[in-house]
Amino acid sequence: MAEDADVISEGGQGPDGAKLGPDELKVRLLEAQSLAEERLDLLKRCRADLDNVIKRSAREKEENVKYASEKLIGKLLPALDSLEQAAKHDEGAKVLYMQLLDILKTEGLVPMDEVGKKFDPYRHEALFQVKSKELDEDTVAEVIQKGYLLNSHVIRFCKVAVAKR
Amino acid sequence: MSKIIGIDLGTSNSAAAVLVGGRPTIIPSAEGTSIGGKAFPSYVAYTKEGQVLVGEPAKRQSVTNPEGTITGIKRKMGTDYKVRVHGKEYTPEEVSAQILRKIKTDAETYLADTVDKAVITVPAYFNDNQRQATKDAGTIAGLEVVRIINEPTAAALAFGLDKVGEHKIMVFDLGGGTLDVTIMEIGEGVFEVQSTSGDTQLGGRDMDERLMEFVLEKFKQESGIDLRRDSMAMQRLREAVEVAKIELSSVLQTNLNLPYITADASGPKHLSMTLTRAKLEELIHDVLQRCHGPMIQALKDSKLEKAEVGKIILVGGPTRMPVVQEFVKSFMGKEIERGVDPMECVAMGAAIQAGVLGGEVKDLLLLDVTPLSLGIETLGGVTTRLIERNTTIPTRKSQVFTTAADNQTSVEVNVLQGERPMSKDNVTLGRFTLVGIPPAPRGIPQVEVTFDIDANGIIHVSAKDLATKKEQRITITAPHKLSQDEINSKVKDAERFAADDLKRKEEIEVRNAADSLLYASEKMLKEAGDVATKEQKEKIEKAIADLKNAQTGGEISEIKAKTEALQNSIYELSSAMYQKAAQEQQAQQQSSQQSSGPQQDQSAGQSGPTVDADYEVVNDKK
Repeated sequence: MAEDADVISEGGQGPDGAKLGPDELKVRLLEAQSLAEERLDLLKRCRADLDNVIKRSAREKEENVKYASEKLIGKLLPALDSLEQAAKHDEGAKVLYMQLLDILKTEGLVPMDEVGKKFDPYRHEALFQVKSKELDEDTVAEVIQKGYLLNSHVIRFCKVAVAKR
Repeated sequence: MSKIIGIDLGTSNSAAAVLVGGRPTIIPSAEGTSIGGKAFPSYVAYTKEGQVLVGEPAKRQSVTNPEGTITGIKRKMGTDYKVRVHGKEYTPEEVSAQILRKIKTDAETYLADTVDKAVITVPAYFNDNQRQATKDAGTIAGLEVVRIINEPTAAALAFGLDKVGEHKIMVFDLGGGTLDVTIMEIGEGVFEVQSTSGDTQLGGRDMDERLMEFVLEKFKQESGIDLRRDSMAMQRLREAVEVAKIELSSVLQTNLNLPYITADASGPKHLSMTLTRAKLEELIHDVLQRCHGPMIQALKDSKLEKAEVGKIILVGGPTRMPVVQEFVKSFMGKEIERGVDPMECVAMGAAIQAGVLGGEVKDLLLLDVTPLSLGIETLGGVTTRLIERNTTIPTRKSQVFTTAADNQTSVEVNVLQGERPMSKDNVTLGRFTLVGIPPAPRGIPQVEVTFDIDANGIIHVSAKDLATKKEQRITITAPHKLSQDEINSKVKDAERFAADDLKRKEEIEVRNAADSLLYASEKMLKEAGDVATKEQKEKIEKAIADLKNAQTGGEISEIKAKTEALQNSIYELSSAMYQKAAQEQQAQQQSSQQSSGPQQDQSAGQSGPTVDADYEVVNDKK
């Protein structure tokens, strides 16, 4: 305790450092060195963090540009579903549906045609199973809601019924 | 230097976070974000082909592979239960390890570094066996679990409640299928659980069901058709109802439109109805009522009165709903804590704990932010911000300003702090004058003003004339330390007076624009010489006189109208000048002498930037 008090008061006087004995100077040097190391370590961590954030944000920016239209097109899909249903009843709606689909196709939207394909959890979401004699087990028997790809990346999984023998 | 990550290993959803630059950041799942956010479902599937699927893909195939799909394995942790799948047995630790392994891989992709240490959260009521099992799951996944912490503790850390002295808190965690209520005491960085209570069969899914049932019944009443038998219609409806539910958290009513939802003998049928927040509240009323019991029980077990609980934290997706927030608030008679996403706060708190254990969180690293915006006063008493509030310090920003009058040789820099657009509503931290600017027309001198805030919050402001390199500076040491309440009230004031302030700012802008245009017009008239006809000149002179009159009158709409009138007459003149210049240029193409046209064009063009009030520094000392 007494030593601590001494060090503090001498430190406060500044140039009095000369009065310190070699042992105390050694202690101080070690303290300063460990503090310097600790700070260097923190600095390195900060630099590494910054470096990684820069790299990551560049990557994210690239992805954002690539899928910029994804959010909007995703929101339009329910309207596309409605038009697809309407097309079954009405010739005008059918033309409208085709027109909208064609426009979205130019943005990279591709409807998935999956009936008869093997069930794949990276493309399909199984809603229920149906008994079938013609179809192989675990193939798509019926599409309940059409799935879509945007620039070969699934933006809506195809909701399907899966065949069961 | 690989990082330690924080993991929220949940019953129905899991998420992970890591400290990046001292801030907890959620690690995105490789499958991308779902409608609920960045968390993923705690599903594990073993396929017949021997493949292991985790998260969204496992959930999507669950119907085709019910015997191989495992959910809610957390409920079995620490027991002797074994899952039998396709003839093989798995312990709950092994199944949980699959979830942790996926998180490890996602984290390694995100951080571009190896990850081999983690902090994992568990419910406060987990016993030693369950905690040990969670640790073992980490080991199987190749993660050293450096600490297991309680979920409510992690949530409290994410809200920064460990830093506000000794107090008692309640954590209300309503997930997809479970409710956990925990009462804790926090002091000196120690978290002590006082009591826990809950309901393992109560959650957001019950609320979704209610809304779905309501819509189905209403449609049945209106059309006579039961959509439950039409799987295609049900799928469309389920998604639309989910979107509507989320919308009702921010708006009071929303429309549900599903044209051609189905068809019967009479033709196609459309579903179109309005859902209100009030209706949603009514529908889930009894689900909410069931939350009362666990809250009362937890209070009773901790022997506390409601009033003794200092802070309330909400955790879990369904607590995003205003009706749930309102319910807890009115029961406890106290505001709830805000600011951290309830779906992400547990993982974030685990990441903070991980940062502390990894030596990443130290006082030295806790960067401060400027609580209020800083700027200078410009023409018309407008505050031009250089540094926005909440900017992390140390920081530095410069902007070039100019003079507001001809032959102005000095500028006064009034350093302001606050969120209001007008200088007089903000606080002056200091002011100084930069003198010795060479006389020049307004808008020509360039004065660079620089704000520099160092790590200690000390503000250095300097103004430098870029032509003479003359410089003046001021240092503002700890400008009047504001308390959090003062900061909040200032920010609130800015919001409260936003409309008035905007109007006043617009008025100043109209006045400044009029001023600049007058200056430019008079200059142009002088320089136009014989290009302008007598009528043109007279017309402009009259417009100038009108505008000056309007300025003394002070009616803003009048000033605006007259400014536009003058602008139009100026355009006539300037286009005449351009035409003449073009003709002259054509006529003199062979001769090397250039017409005076371009020069005049330039002077007309120059008046452009001075219209912008933001770029002018106030001068009240010449």
